[in-house]
Amino acid sequence: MKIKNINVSEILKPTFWKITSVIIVIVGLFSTYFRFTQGLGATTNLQDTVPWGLWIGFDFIGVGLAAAGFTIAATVHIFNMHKYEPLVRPAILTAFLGYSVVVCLLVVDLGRPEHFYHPLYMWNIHSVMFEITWCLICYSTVLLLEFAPVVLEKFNIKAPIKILKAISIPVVIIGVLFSTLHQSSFGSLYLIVPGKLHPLWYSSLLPVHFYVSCIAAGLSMIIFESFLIARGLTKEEGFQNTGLKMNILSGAAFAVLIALIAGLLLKIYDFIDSGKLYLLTIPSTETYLFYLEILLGTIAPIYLLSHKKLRENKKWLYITSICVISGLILNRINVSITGLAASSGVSYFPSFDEISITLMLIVLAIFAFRLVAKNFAVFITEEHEHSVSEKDIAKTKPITIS
Amino acid sequence: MLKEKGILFDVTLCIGCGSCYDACKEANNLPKTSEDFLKDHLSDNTFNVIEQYDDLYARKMCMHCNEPACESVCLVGAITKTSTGAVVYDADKCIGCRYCMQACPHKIPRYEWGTTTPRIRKCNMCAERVSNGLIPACAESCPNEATLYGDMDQLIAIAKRRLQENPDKYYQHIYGLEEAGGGHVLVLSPVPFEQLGYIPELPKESMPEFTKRAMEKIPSVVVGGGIFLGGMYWLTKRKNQIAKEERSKNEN
Amino acid sequence: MVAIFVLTAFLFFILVDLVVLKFQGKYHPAFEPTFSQFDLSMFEKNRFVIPQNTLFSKGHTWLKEDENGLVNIGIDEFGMTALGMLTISNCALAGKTLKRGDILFEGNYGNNKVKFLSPISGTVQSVNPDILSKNISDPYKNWGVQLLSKDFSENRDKFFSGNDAVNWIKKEYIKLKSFLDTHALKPELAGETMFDGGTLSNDMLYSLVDKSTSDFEKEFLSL
Ligand code: SF4
Ligand code: SF4
Ligand code: SF4
Repeated sequence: MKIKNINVSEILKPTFWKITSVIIVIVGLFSTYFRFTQGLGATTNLQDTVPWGLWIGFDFIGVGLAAAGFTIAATVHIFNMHKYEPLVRPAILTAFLGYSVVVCLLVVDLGRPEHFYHPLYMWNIHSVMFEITWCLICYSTVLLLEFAPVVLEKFNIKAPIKILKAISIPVVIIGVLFSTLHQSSFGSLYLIVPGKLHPLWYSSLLPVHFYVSCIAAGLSMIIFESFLIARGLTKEEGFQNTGLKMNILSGAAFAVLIALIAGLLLKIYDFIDSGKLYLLTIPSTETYLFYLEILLGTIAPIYLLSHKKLRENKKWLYITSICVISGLILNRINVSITGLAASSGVSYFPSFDEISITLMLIVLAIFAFRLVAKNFAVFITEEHEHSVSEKDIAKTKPITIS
Repeated sequence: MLKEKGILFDVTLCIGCGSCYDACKEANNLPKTSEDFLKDHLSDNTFNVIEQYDDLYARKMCMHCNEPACESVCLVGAITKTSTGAVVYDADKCIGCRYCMQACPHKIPRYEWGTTTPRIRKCNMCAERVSNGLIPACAESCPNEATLYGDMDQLIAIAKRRLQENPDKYYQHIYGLEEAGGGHVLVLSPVPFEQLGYIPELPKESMPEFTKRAMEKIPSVVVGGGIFLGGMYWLTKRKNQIAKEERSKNEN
Repeated sequence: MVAIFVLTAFLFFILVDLVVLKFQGKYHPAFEPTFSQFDLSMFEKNRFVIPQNTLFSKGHTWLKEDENGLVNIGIDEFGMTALGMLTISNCALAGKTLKRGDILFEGNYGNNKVKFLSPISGTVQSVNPDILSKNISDPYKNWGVQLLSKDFSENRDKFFSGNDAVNWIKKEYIKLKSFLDTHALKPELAGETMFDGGTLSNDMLYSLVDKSTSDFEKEFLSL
């Protein structure tokens, strides 16, 4: 496999997003440098009362949005709904890159990043964090196994593909289990702070809330991403099958609807069961943000998605997916930052370095997605899995870097 | 095995002299952090503070919980409870996730934000001194016996006796005996504890209980989920197959 | 506050992207104007009004025998609108004898030239001058040529009619959609008015990537 000559003029052709990305990455690299040379105190606004900030909050968001990796895999491979086949590879790739961002952010956030490997052999099985760490490690392995055939296919290495195919169902099942565990465990992290986390969010059902909301948001992310792909890659050379597949997406949107309704009912049950309804009438920042989270992230999308017409309409589907993602963003940040602000007694706002490092990692992940999508057959059509089409350029093309 | 040791702090006896503050700094080789010890607060260089509330003085330090939240959440086991009951920390293990700070119900652990090799900092009940046969510096230095160090069962007995013998002098509660599952630092006070900045309304059960309830479900989720998914796979595959067979039959 | 900040940042990037696209004169796929016939409602059967006694050939021409035994041939609705409004630029001349598969009409959607083939053999009796270079609003009222045909009845079973025709047209639209997806098309405006009163008109054109026109002919206009 030879590397295609890099088309320098093509790469250097400035576009708005290219310039923005380069700026973000350069600034982010500087921030990263400062972070590792100056320490956390100098570069972040974290302090004793606010030990976790934007980075941890963003980890929650990233993991929540990467949830499509297991839901779609389960839909196609476990529930045998092969209609959704074209979403599997993008979802797995998204999940993998999402987790990579999360892991990088975690390492940046660790006070002693050079000790990051300690959990491998220093165990405390009572810690939720320990469970999450191991689930993350195992699930990333699963994602790699799930994506490996795509890579091997390209280099025409057939033997391992056979093995991978043979174990694919157990691998998917294990992946779903690990995902279930760590998605909900991110909620369990906060079970230990009943006195600190605002009761609007604290609940013994926190893990279940996290699990249900990640399903809706993960699928929405895949919908949103399909639009991004259609917008960014369709007209570019070297990509195919990037168009919107509305029939599949509206099917996924229906699943989002169900997950959102389940989440809402669960919330209502939780509020009634633990007698927290009165909290909804206390005017405070927390209450307003809670309302915003529910209205934007749950009620509005439920309303929009319950109309078949809107579900099948590109524009509204796009808007709805943005709503659901916004809802998840609000929810995760509310749990990890807003809900704890009152008990910490100080108001926290992320520092410049915190923001720029986060942005940099997102940009790098998008770039990585593009690169992988360009070189491997990530976007496939429905029949692909069963009859490999001749036309597949991505599979036979030489590797390109641009 | 050593007997479980603890500290009893009696607000009514504390004169706010600051001896324990200074002794703690000295015993732990901590730099000076404030001109006026009464205005200082817990930090990576201050494990023990004395706060003034009118004419009362309250000590704040790690409560050395019986089932410490900080210990249970630490994924690498950097925080452990010794056989004497002290909750100690091992910086060589710590990866710096700061979950212990988030989890502690008393908001005790502090972090060395200023360095690139930061450590969690908090009172360790002078574990080193104790293993050398000494008693914690703060207890040793106290001129008025406001801070007592001793066996837990004896301290509890003393506390109970004081409450009983002087019901007017004391607010009838031993703070730290049951809060968040109880700990090895007990506090007596003439006024309700929230007036002295102690965190009120902590649950009686230990904090790790809350997580344990969720963690206990993991095995059943794994087993149940595995069976469910396997079953679903088999079922839907079967269904598709039947549908296919039927279709091919119809076509013939 | 942080929650609001992160949310605004997310929405901000989406908005900036829309603005950037606006500057470049492109559309975001979500807000891309589409042909009205691509709305899914078009797949509901009642929207297809198919004239009676009319046959449809696979090359998207329609045929109808009149009382004099002549066969009227025109281009069907699909052919008239597939890539934007079709204008017919050329047409077989009166007196010419055609074989099945010869070029009958030539037209273009904007810059995309396409050829429609004759579904039957015969001699052109007359040509409708009204169809040339005009917008045709009702494709089934305006026949293009009248043929005196020798093999119309033999070929009858090659054409669709009634329910078969409806089903076939539906499939063709679905095919067209994926064709447009895979051929990386950019919609362009034919005239200034794209939105008339909020609904999209058909005056929009898709410019195709290279060679797509021949692909289109192969896929949709071959007999
Ligand atoms: S008071 Fe906090 S730091 Fe001290 S042992 Fe208890 S949980 Fe740990
Ligand atoms: S910061 Fe260190 S001591 Fe605290 S929980 Fe994390 S690894 Fe354990
Ligand atoms: S026990 Fe030791 S470390 Fe703890 S407050 Fe007293 S002197 Fe300081």
